[in-house]
Amino acid sequence: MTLMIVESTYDPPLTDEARRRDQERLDPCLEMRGVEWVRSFEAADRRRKICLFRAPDAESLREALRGAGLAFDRVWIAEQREPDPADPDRQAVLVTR
Amino acid sequence: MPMREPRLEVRVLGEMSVRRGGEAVGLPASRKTRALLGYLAVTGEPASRSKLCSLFWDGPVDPRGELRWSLSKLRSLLGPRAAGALVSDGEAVRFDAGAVWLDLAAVRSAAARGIDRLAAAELVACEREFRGELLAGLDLPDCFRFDAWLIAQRETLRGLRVALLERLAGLTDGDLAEALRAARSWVALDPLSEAAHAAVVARLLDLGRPKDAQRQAETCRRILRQELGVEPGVLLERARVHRPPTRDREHAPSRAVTVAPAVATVTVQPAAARPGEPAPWVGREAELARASAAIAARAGGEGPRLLLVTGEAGIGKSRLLAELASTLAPGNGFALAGRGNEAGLDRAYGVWIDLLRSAPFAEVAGASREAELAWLAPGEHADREMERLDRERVADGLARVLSRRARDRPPLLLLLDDLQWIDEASIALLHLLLARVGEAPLLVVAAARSGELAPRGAASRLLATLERERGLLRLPLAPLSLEEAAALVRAISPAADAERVAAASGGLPLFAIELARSGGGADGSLPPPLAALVGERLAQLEAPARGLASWVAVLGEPCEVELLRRLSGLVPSELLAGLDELERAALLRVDAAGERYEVAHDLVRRAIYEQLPAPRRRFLHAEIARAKAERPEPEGGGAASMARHAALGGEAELAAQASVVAGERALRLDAATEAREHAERGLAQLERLGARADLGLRLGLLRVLVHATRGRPGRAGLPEEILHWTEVARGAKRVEETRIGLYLLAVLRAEEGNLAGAELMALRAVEAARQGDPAGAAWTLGNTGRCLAHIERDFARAEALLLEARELAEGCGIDVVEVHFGLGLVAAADGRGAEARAELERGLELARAEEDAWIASQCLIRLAMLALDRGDPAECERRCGEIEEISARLGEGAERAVAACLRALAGRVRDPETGSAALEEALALLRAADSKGMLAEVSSRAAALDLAADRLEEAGARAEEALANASTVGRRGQIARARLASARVARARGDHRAALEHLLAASAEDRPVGTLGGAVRAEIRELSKALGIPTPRSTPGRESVDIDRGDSP
Repeated sequence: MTLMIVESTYDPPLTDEARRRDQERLDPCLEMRGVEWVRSFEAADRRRKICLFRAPDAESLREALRGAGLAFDRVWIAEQREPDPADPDRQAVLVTR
Repeated sequence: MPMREPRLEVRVLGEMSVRRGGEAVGLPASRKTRALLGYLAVTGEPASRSKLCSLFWDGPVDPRGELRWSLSKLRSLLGPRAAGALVSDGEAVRFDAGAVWLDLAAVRSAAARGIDRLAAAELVACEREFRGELLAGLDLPDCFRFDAWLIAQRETLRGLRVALLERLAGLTDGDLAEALRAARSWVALDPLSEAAHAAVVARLLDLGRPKDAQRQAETCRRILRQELGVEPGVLLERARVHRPPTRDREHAPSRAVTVAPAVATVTVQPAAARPGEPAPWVGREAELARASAAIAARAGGEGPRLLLVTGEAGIGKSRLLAELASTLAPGNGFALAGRGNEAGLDRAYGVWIDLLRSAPFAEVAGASREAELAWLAPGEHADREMERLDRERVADGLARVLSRRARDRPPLLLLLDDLQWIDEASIALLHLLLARVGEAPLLVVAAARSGELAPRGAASRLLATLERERGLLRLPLAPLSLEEAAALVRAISPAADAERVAAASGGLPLFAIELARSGGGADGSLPPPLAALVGERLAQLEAPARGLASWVAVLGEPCEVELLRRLSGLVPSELLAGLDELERAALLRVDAAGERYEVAHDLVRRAIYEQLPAPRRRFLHAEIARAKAERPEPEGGGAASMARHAALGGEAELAAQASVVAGERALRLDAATEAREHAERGLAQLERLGARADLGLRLGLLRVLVHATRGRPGRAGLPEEILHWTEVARGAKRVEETRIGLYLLAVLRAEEGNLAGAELMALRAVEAARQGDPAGAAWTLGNTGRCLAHIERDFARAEALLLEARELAEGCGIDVVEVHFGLGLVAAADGRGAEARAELERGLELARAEEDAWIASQCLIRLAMLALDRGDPAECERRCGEIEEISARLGEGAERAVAACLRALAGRVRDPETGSAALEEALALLRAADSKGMLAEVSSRAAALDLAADRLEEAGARAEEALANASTVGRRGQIARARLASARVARARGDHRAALEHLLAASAEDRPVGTLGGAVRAEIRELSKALGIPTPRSTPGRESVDIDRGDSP
């Protein structure tokens, strides 16, 4: 399973009702394709959203989204990186601060 | 520096196991290969290759090749370093004893020092190594040389083990319990050895357990009489006379007994000394008080919900149940009674039917008006009706009726006697019922023999649940005190020497009653066995009554008069007179339901049974089995009983047949444990028949076994056993049996990699949608069905959902694009090209009208593939153009890359000599888009084209890539196609074995049957035929082919 990011934009902005409906339609499609939702980040103005998933491949995720009738801008494979003081390659955040 | 390899640990006593550094090493699936390892380990000597071939492969075309293959398999399992333990120097092969620790070597070296010289601890350690017989489960009936060797080795080791146990059992200066354990193991190993029984008797007496000792002596006598037709000799007698002088009771009474005046402490309820009526109630005030308190608490809706009375046979459990029922004041509470029956385990729900139809049935009158309880109405075949109903619904109905009646006139007692013999289905119903009656004033009072409830059986599980919930009160019954027993004797036979009879009875009420009825003439140190007492009573009967007693005792279950008439051949007047006589003698009684006769007590039944000479018993059992077979009950009822009688009557084939029926019936009732037992017993019967055993019967039994053990540990070596018999069936050209065997193998294989029910959420959504408006339901069902077809998870279910969606949509005059797309996918997977095209064209048209670019692109991709399947590259290329056009509107995705791949494949169809550059470029695009499902699809298709052009290397690599990608996304259809591609490549390379492996793996994806589309299944069938595997008959609803990994073409 690979970590995937989905970027979406909303115009008009996303409502609670629309989010709930999308979720209901998407969940079975995700489950059947073995895709797990990890977490989502919504912009304060509710016009942009980034969702993290774990999926066997990017196309399974696209199929699930499209099969549920949800629009998206991009799906891309991600590598998770965390700050780590012991690893010089992972100090960027600390250094810039 | 090389690492030091941990020593190999090989165990051959029992099922073979190999451990390395404490870690278990997986053994090869092939029984022959394991047997080869076992043989080399046990002999520890070099064996020439020709000898090994003659032991194991006397027949195949290339025995040396087979041996090489087996040895290489073993080496790879042992790992690179430990493989050194397997030494082959030229012509000879041996197992390096220095490199391994072998359990057998430890035993041998101890024996070599002389068993008499070993200390107790060494003896125990040595004996503990025997976990079972040598190389258990590795018998190879087809390799007669190996089998003969194995039998001889086992015999030698058995002698060694007997010697060890004999020595241990005779060690009286140390741990007596250990000595007793050894003596018991000795009996288990050699039940016909009088010396072994005598050792058990002597150790029991040493431990101060005279009653157990006596029981053991009886057992010995019975076994010797039954099996050898001889009486025990001096050994047993000598052990018996060593009886210590103590007359202590084996179990201390659970309560204090006032010594004097003895009689004053004992209450005797109205004497009923006449045979045929319940024995008088004596003593047991404490138990009765506890039970009455529980009943009173329950009447108020509190306290335990099940009261469990336990104790040994004849202790008075049934009598206590009857007493509790009689304590209910008239018009205040009522009791319903039923009981389990040792031979009647196959009467599903039997105890409930008896209980609900028992005497106070009037109390439940009106119950049969409840829909779920209609079967209770008189004249209905309750058992058949009950089996058809859903158990949960029956429990609902019962709970409603019983709670209502219990509240009307509290309390209601449900008396369940002989819980240890109540069938699994009845217990399951009791479990459900208890969960439903809540606080109703209803108490279940069950009686069970101590230690006879199967530890993991349904009843034990129920009791454990109740215990956790504090819903269980246990009431163990101890023997009567001397005073109580004497009072009982006096109540029955005022003239008897009550104290002496009471002492002889050991406080066992049944024994005291029988002694009293026989005149109470006990004089020796050991009371006469019950059998002798019953024998005296039998001797006083007329011949027809004696004959009837034999039939009833051998039947071992309540029986109707009609069956007794048929069996005994008596004319009605003699029959009725005989039954009367038996009732008067208190040997027979009418059962609780008032419909059948049964023996008064199981111990009495056994006593009558044991009076019969073994050949006569066998004859009676066989007659009963035949009588039952002549008039089989519907739906397999009575089959378990038939199987039991046939087995005891030596009718092995009939027993096996009945076991199949009984096992299938148990499966229908969800009684998996019982089903498994039936199958195991049936298989044991077939062993008795040897080569004459019918193959169909065997596979029928194996089928029951496989289904009974689904989702739980099965019996060791089951897949190998099935494989063996499947091969035998194939060799004998028994197509149906071969098919069953292959099917069972595939079931077992699919079990191993069981996919979780990943569609649960979708199916719940479908259920919810069905409750809503039809248009919404059509959309949800269509969407789910399309999704299932799209991911190739389950075509059968996908089609069912889509057809339902279509019907709903038509009903409201709408057309759902996903229904057409989905049905197009299903038809394509089934190889119905024209239909698939029509559906996809309609789907495309609708998608374009609705501006659903994604569905449109998906329909186009499938249409392009269908064109390739038809060998129409031009049409494919045209469709690819459309895909490229529409994908511009889709945004990112794999569609453009798929189109490029299909275009490249079309180019190859047009000209098979086309190079792979275009395809590689397109595949790179597809990999970048990360569409593993499509990668699998395109790679499988490319593999087929490579294979057709004889490019085996490329074809093999593409098939592997297809499999890897399909597996990642779990698309079973594509996994099967990739496997088929690999199988074809292997076949082209001449690797028959690998081809079969892939073919079997492909067919295993079709579980449950219908998961794969018909086209793949047809490919599987075609390839099986090409590989020389008999193609099973196509039966409705089961078209698929199941293939095993046969070793020979």
